[in-house]
Amino acid sequence: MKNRMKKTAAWLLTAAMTTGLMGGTVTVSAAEDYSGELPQDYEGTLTMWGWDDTWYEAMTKAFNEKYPNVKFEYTPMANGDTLQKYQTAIASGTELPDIGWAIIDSRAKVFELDMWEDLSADPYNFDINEVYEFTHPKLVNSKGQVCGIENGLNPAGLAYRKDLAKEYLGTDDREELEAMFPTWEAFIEKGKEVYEKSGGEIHMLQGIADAQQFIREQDGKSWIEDGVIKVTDALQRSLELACELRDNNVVDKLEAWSPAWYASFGEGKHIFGGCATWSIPFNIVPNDPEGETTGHWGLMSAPEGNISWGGTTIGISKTCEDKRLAWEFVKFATLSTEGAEALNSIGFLTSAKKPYEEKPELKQMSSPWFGDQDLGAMFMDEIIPNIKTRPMNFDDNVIHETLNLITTALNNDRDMTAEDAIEQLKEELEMKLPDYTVE
Amino acid sequence: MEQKEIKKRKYLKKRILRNIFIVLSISMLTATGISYLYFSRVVREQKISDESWKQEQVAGSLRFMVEDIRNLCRSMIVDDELQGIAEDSGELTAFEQVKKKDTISKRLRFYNSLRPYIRGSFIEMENGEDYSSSVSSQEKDYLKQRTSIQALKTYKEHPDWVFSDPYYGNDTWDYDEIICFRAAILDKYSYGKRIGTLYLEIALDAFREPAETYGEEYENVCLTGNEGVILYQVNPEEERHTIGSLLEKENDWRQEGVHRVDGGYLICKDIEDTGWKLYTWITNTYLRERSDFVLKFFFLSFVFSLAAILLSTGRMVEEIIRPISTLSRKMEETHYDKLVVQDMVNTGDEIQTLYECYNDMVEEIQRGIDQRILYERQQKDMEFDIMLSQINPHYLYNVLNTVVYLAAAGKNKDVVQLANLLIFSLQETLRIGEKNVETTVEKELELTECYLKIQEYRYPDAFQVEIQCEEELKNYSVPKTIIQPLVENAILHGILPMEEKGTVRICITREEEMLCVRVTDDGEGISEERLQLFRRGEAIVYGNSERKHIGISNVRDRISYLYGEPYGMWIERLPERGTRVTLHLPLKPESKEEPAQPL
Repeated sequence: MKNRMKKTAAWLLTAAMTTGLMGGTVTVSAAEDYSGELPQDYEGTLTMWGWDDTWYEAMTKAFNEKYPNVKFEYTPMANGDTLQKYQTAIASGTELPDIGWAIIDSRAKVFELDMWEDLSADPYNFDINEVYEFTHPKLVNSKGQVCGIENGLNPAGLAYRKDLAKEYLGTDDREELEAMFPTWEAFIEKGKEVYEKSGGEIHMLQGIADAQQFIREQDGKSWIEDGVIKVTDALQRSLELACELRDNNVVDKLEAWSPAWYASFGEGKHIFGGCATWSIPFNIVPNDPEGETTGHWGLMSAPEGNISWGGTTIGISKTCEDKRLAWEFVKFATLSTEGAEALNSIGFLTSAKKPYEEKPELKQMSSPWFGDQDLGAMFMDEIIPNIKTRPMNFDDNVIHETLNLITTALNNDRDMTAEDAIEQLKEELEMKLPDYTVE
Repeated sequence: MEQKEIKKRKYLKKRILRNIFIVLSISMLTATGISYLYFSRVVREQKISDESWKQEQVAGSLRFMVEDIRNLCRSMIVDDELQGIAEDSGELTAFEQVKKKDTISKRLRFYNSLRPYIRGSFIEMENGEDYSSSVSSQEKDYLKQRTSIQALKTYKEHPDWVFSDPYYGNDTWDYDEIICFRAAILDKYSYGKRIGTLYLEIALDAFREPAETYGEEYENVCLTGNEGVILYQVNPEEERHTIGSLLEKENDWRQEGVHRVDGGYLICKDIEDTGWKLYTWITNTYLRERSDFVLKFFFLSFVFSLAAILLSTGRMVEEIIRPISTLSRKMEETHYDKLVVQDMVNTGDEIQTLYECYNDMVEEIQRGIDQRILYERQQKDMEFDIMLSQINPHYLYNVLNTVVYLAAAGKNKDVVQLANLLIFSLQETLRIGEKNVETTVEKELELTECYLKIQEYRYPDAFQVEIQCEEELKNYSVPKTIIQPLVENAILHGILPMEEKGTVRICITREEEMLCVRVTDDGEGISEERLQLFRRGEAIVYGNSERKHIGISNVRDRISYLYGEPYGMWIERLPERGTRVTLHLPLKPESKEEPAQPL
């Protein structure tokens, strides 16, 4: 803190002296030009709260190679607690992290908190066109301010266990499998067969929530439009399909993100699983040690198309005391080629375009768990171009949470129908979001 | 030789200083050692007391945290939404159940977010329902799996434990060790009726932190939990140096207080309301390091004091003994031919007395020496006079014998002539001043010639004499009556015993800065026996004579008295016949001092 104050004082002094020497013709804002790079011996500390240790470790390490005197203080938190934690800090006047993370689930609401620096404005002047277009809607708040930049691309297809696919579906070839499942209906039909063939042991997916979550994101329809929550239009089919998947035992009963759900990646009882770029280091690698040698995973396109799944942005909080350094880190992590290389080393893909132009090999991504499959080419060339991004709305998180409750209820109560679920969803949303019309 | 021995002696100043140094060093070392031991004990006790106080502070902050956790639990338990768990008793639809769990989960998460160290919380109701702050809480068996973690099972078996043992959770974000704290949820309508239990999962690091901060400056700090399980320990990699391994040796050391252990002290502090204990192992090395300044202080003060005392004492001693040193040096330099009285010192003490005595002694010695010199001179003169008096009667005896012989023969002219010669001879012989015992070569030769003329009367045609003397040597000084006795000896004991006429040669030359007088005869030659007597420095005695023939010995002794080495007299028996007597005398020009008065 003391150092930072000294640094600030030194900046101000330098600025003041420069101004004085030049007869006041230069304004102080000239000292706040964030476009250049910092001196390599720059000293400072940045605080972060987050949930992705792998990303944090890799990125801060790479940053420290460039700026060895910068220190980081990291407080882990569950991504589901993001909104709660930020609100508590704001309401109690306690310190916010310098670098703020925002998970996609609650991002719209988190971005509305008055805690973010607008990265598109002075002195940052971030040009949003530097990153992939399909991420743009998820970087801005309702005022059009860019509150964060994706720390990676999050395209998602379906991962599959090659050994199970071969056994129960007759092939482990990606294209053949994709041809086998043009629609979710076809998926259900095969799923029924698999369940029966395996004597109730093997399911196509881990849980109802996995299916519902994937399906609802496929068409990219906004959940709210002009004050209307489009339940029927945007969510009905996913709930119906979810129920069908459940009723036909195509999906298991695991609750997403629970310890059992994580463990299932190594148990070999589910042929498919949603797979975003981060799923590999986050879900598969830690839970399926065997897969490293067998390479028994494959990546394919899901029935009816792929999605952008999840995602975390990093931005700068207004309470950050060394915004210059914070911006240097954000730039490094999200826009620079060095940052992209660090991302690539942990199996992530940067959302910035320029690194791929400078180093086309950054598009390459592989994992021993997926054998020799070129995952980079799959994500970048096949999945991303066809992603339909759902526009963000302020109250999306309420709908998201309610949907999670509905799917949990569907999971817990096998008698609950898709109609019941939709009815319950509408009722709940009308109650929670009385200002909207629910259709 | 004497001087060297003096130099080898030890100096008084050094000896005094060395003794002072030894005595002072030993006494100061003893005093310093005792003081050091005392003060280091005080410092050690103070240090241990400080540690106890610091431990108390750490324990205080841990107690404060526990109290904070307790208060948070109270707030959570009385929270309306959480209290509502028990109230909803009716049949709920699946969605309502899910929603209720979600609501409670969010409420729990809200409370969790109020404390940065809370990692999670869950509630177990007596009716079997359970709720968790985890986002996985909707999973049916989530909490059952969680509570099947061994540490939590053990915790449930020990209702007296405040905290559980540390454990790792099974959620993916459970990245650090946690411990569990519980609080009973009681029915607000029925006193003492337990309806459930609230469990808070707390990051162990939150508790470790105060101990860790405290532990930074110590070699070994340990925080133990239930039944001595180690929650935090410094240097856990060095197994045998850990408090954990120390505690295994002796169970009594787990009691609160200060325990003397191998290599140091173990301070144990109970942390109230937790069942935990905080241990600090203060090693002797640590204490030594901390009390190092005492040692340094004592060492430096010892060295400085010693140096200062020695310096000042040195000066003082030097001042005191300087007169003694001076006196000693002067005494070393003193020779008996050069006695000097010292300048007096006025110290008014024994040293002044010493000086006074020394000066008195020197004066006394000087007086003694003067008197002795005077005495010796008087004795010498006396001996000389005696010698002269020995010559004269002998000589006179011989001459008067001749006179008697001539008178008997009626040779009156010869008697007159002889008497005149004798008178001249006695005149010359006895021309002795008080301090003048020398004459010139010329006069000595005149005297000898006078003697020879006398002897010619007595022994006509018995001998002849040849005298050689360079003219320049005639003015040099020789002791009186030094040649005549030699000539007399040559005639009487060399030539006369023979029947034929003999020759006496007197040759005076200058050799190597010495005056050389040789009297050679061709007579009988001195006997070997007499020669030995002469060489031993004894008087030579001839034949049946009743009196000693002391003429030759007298010459020798006089030369020795007057001149000493290398001058002297040598007698040699010549190979064919005869004797040669050689005198070596200093080459002294004629003395111009007061002319000798005839007697």
